[in-house]
Amino acid sequence: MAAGSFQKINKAALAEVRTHKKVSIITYILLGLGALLYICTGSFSTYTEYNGQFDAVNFERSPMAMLLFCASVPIGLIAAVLVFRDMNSIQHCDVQHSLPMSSLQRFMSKLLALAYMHIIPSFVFMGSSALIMTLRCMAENAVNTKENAAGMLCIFAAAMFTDAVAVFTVCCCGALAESIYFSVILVGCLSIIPTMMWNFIWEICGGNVFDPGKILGLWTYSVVYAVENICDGSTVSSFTIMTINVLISAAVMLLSYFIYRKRDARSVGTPIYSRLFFEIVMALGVFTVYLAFVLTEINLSYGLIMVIVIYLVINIVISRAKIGVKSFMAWLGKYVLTTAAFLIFVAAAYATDGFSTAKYLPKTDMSGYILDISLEDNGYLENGYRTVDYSSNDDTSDKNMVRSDLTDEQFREINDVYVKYFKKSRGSVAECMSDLFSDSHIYNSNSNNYCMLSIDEPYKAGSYHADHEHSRAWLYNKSFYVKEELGSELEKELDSLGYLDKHITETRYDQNGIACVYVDGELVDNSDY
Amino acid sequence: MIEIEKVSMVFRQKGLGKGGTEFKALDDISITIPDGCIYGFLGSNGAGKSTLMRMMCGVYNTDEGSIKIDGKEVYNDPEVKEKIFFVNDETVQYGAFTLDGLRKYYKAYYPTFSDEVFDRLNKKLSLPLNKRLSEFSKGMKRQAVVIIGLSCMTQYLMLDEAFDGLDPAMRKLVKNIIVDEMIDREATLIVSSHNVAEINELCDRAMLIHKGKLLFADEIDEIKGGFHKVQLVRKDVPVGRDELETVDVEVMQYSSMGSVSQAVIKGTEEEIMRKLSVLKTEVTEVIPLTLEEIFIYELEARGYGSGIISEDK
Repeated sequence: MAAGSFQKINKAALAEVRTHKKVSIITYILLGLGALLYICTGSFSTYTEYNGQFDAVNFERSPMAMLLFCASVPIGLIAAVLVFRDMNSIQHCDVQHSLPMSSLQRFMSKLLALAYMHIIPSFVFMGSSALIMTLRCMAENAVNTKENAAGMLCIFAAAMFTDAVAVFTVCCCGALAESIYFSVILVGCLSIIPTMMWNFIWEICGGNVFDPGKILGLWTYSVVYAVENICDGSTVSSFTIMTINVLISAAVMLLSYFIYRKRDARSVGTPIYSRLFFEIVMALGVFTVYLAFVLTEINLSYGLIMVIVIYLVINIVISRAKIGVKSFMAWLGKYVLTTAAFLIFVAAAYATDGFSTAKYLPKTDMSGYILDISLEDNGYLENGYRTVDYSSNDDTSDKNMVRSDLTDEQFREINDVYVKYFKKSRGSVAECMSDLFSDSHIYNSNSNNYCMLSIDEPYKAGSYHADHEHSRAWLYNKSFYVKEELGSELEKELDSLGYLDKHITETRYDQNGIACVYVDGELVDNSDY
Repeated sequence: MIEIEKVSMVFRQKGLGKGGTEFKALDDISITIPDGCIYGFLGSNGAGKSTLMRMMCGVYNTDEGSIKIDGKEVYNDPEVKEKIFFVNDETVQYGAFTLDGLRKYYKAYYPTFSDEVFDRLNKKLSLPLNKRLSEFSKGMKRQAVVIIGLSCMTQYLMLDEAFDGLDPAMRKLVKNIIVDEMIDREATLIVSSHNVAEINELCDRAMLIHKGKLLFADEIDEIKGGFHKVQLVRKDVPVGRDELETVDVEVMQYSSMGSVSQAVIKGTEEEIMRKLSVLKTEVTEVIPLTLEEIFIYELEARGYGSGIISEDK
């Protein structure tokens, strides 16, 4: 019974593939050429590692191959829209829904057709390229095998993500145009909004923007995640994240059936089948645009204008010329509500110090990590600036630089002091709101005083960075502008802790522009600025 | 046998979700289509013929009532759908196919597909196998779809405005092919058309639908026997509509000129003559109506196109 049903689904899928064979051919050409170039033109290069301690072999990927692989990704959107044509064309719906298949069989046949047209060729060509590359890398002892394999998985995840979003969107839309542009909007929003949101929260609580966290890659356009992940350099986590990404995409495709099965031909031609879907996409779009304005420090007033234009245009297009005063007012109402929701979100993030992320420390046990706090006072000297540095260890010789005697409790105590002054230095929520609509920025300030807390991780001997035995790696940092009157208070409080080493650096410029650097009152550098 | 029982369906205005205005496309329709007959769907534009046909082949679900084919609900049941082939009123969806491609496509879905029938019919109509249907004329596309429909060898073939675009000679040829094939295999043909004469000629049963409501459904001879045009002549005062209605006849249309009154009355000839016998007239003559006339008078009685009809007269 099940075998018979699969045979039927398979036959139907193959019939769909034959109908849209041009799309399949284009996909096969792009992927086939990409794989050929990847295998044939990928080469090995040798470079000398740090301090000339050993030679490393790198596999150099063909950029053209990667370009071709990437070009095959959006084909999934076209394939999904064509395969699910019964969702937006009454003529196709008449034909396909009258065929002897249940809605489940029809849906599965379409997914299988999509797999034949896009997913399977992507998997086969990219997978075989990655496999051959891995074997060659193993033979050559290349150091970047994992990075390359993760990169390939990343493109496959992007293909799956595109397909999943397109299938889901097509099931929620009843017109061809909406199926396409809502897929594009959704792909864009889902990809960048988590990163933007994360960055926004971090910025608002003084964190570092290049710490997106693994959660962002769970279901997003993997290329976006990959770019973010470059800073991390953790390929193992990329494998896990990308595999989860692929699995979520597959699940979304399968779960779209629950929308598909509810639809009969009556909803075909209706631009948007699911009002909930429409409202969610619109809200995501609005948040994306507003966040872009906030993060790029552009006056949000321009954002309001831009969003209302987009909002009304999309609503007018979707209403297919049936516009009344009532519907127009309803759109305006929804626009106002969404904008209000965004402003409330910003206010809440600001009031709660980035939803309490200001207190964040990257590890559960911070003992042994290296801490530096730098207080920069640009107004202290008339002809220069003064920096007060607090560190977890006073020994600045290369050998001991990696050592830190701070316990986890001490680390958290210092962090609490930092957070206390971070909170004190910030304006009210009303000021934050006012800053959004001006050219000044909510997380910047005109203060001359600046405080930065940074945490480094000591490298352990025998690790990949063995040559860095006496070095440390940046782990995390956060910073904020300190109000002038609070700067000295913070300095006193950090002094009172008693276990941090303190150094005062003064940089003074003489009339010839020559900088004289004094550390703890002693001249250490005298150079032309 | 197809049993349509108390079927109703509501369409919503195309907009966002369920908020739009609604209109009832079908309202409490009940008909039975016996096996082996040729059934005609008649109706005004937008009456609900295509909607009903789409429901009968599982494209639309019903809001109320049921549509059963051989005792089983048709919607979402592949086994039942294997017995149906639906040809809708458009052919654009086939544009990318060649006739041969279309044959392969449907062969994948219908296990009963017959290459022998396909070849035989295509030989008769001489359509190119490897030319895209988008390059076919409208009539050729229709022929192609009819060939496919017949080759699927289903028990029920539903044709929605299937003869549109065919020239008179080809219309006749295609009709003959369909009828021959369907009769040979004792299959049921359901045809919708605005061309009442065509339904009259082709079908043995028909139904008339208007604004989603069923006006009548029966054998064509029975339908024709149920409507008559009556001419009454009375010299002094012509027979008025009120007078006719006092003898308990259902007058669908009435006109008079001088001493001659003319009315379209529902009922059999015997029944009408019996009822009218109480009226004192010089002449009472009952004339049978064609299906087309019945169609027009039925719809006119419901105010459909009445302005145009009266102007014509």
